[in-house]
Amino acid sequence: MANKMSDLTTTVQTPKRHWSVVILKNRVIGVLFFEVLIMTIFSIAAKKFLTLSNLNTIFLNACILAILACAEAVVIITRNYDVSVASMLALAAFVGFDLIKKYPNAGPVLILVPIAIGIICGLVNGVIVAYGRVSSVFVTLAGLSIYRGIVTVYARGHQIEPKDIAEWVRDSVTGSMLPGFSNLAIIAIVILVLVSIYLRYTRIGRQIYAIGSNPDAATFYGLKVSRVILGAYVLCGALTGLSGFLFAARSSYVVPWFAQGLEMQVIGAVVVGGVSVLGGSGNVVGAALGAIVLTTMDNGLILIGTHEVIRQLLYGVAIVSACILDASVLKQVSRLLKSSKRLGARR
Amino acid sequence: MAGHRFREFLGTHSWESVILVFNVFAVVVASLLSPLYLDAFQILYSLQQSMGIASILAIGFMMIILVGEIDLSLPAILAVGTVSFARLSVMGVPFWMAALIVFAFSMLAGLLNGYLIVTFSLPSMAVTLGMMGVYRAIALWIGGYEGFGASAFKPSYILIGDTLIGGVIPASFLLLVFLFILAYLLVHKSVYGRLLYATGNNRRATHLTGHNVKSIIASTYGIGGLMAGVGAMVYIGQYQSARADNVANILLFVVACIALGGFSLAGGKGRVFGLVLSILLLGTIQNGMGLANIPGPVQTLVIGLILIASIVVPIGIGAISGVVSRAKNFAERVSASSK
Repeated sequence: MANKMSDLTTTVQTPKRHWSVVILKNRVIGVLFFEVLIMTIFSIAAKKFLTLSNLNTIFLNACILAILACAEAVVIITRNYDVSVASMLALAAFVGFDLIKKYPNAGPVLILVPIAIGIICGLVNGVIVAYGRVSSVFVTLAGLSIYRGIVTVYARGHQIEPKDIAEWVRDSVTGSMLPGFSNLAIIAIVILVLVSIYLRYTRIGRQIYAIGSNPDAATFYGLKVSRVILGAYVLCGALTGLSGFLFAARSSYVVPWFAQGLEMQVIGAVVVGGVSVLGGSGNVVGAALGAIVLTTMDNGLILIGTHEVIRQLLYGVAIVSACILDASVLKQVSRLLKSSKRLGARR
Repeated sequence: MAGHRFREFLGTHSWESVILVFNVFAVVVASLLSPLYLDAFQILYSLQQSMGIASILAIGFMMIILVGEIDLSLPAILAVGTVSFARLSVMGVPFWMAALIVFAFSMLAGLLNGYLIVTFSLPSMAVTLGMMGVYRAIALWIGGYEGFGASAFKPSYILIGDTLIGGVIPASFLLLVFLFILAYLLVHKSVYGRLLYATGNNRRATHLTGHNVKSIIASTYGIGGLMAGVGAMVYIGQYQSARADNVANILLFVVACIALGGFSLAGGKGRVFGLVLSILLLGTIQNGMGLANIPGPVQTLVIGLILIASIVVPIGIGAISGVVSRAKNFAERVSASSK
């Protein structure tokens, strides 16, 4: 009897060596492998690519996209979208830097302004999506235009120029506290580590995954689904606000149409990084790696001198093929699970 | 009898009735805001100008939404269409042939989206986001950075988008009416239309009744792509230019039409009539704002707020009616127990 039981449990387990299971468990390594592959190709094709300064540029360019991808990933893991990130970022950056321009002596407290604006925007998105139970695409698409409209109305044709930005702002982002590391990179890494620990090891973090992989089951289990989704949106908003500050401090110019269309790159990075858009799987480190992959592609293709057409095309193809890979892996794994269950039942 | 029927109609078309009331309200406000508003030609012309292309895209979008999917790449397919028309015109291809080529290719582009989605069972949002990049790249490849100006088009190409029949009615308006009638017949009066609703409401059940759900879904994408091609034909007539970044920001408008028309992203909900009314409403609001000299960004803001309102208001009504009915139940129970 005991022998039979153990036999049954072993058959119910997923086969460990099947290719789909291997890919599913090592998605981040897969993205890393892809990154190394394209880096090898680019370093053969372009001499300038594999220099320290160029790699540094790629890394710094990827930092802000990585934070945004991390923010978006949290929402996508709950099986929702946020397409308003770029508008949210612009609103947070513009209002934040306008206040910095007006009150240059207030000091670092003003960093909280963009974050607060991000939180408010995330709260608005989250409340409607979570408690209204409506499609997040509709809601955040409306958010996209509303936040952008508010920036344009607020700006009244003005813009933020480098002379308006206080010295401490630029120093806090482009300077380096640790020798050899830009503050921007340190901030990005700290955020990534914190968020991934939060998702991996805290109760709410696990609930985010549970809700994404099966919202109905999560509800029956007694999880407060709406509240957790709202929390995911707020976290996304806060991180977006912060990256608005970083982005604006780095680029020194803020205009009302700041970062327009960035949401495409962000969602692209998340998808390429192996976070499933069906929710419930993937992690933020993958999303950040996805951001690095996209930035590397951008940089490398420009260095090789390819036409804009090829770059856009490869962007699109990368997203679509990441989706296809993800879907076929999931299909295969669920088929394996089903067949092994059936085997177990027959015995 | 008539009153009963009317009440029944209101019961089944409550959302459309609300939009109709808003329409009347918007017309009144617009005519108060500007003395120029109440003029049949002005209304017709500006409706066509502001909503024509968005409505053609919305018809295609509606089909896809009905089966519970989404296609973000339709504006990009339209851009491929406009630059292809321009390129073919420069090459000296006669218009009817160019139109056939563009329609065929835009339909194929739509079908490709649909094929990818149903064969690999992919999430349509992310895939069409990627395909949007692909189609924009193709448009850029065909059109180049500069695109094409008015000189690129032969007169026959811009005929449909530019002619005023009898000096009053835009030809593209007639085309739009024709398309809406076609869409109405297809969605509400044909077996295919019933299958769309069935697929949107319960994909599994439709599959089990012996219908090929995959080809139904793929076909809606084909229609969506075809509509983008038709939209391209109207676009080149209306603006007489073609660039790879054409209609980059139209998606908000199309989605606002769809959401306001009573459609749900989950599929299986909404009617063509509702879509027509919501397009009229949004067109009237835009027209009124334009006549009142409200700047563009504010107009976009207003459209976004309308989109949010069209989502939030029904939820609010549902919540309130839920509370009311619960209170009624409670009161009944209390009175029953006191007896």
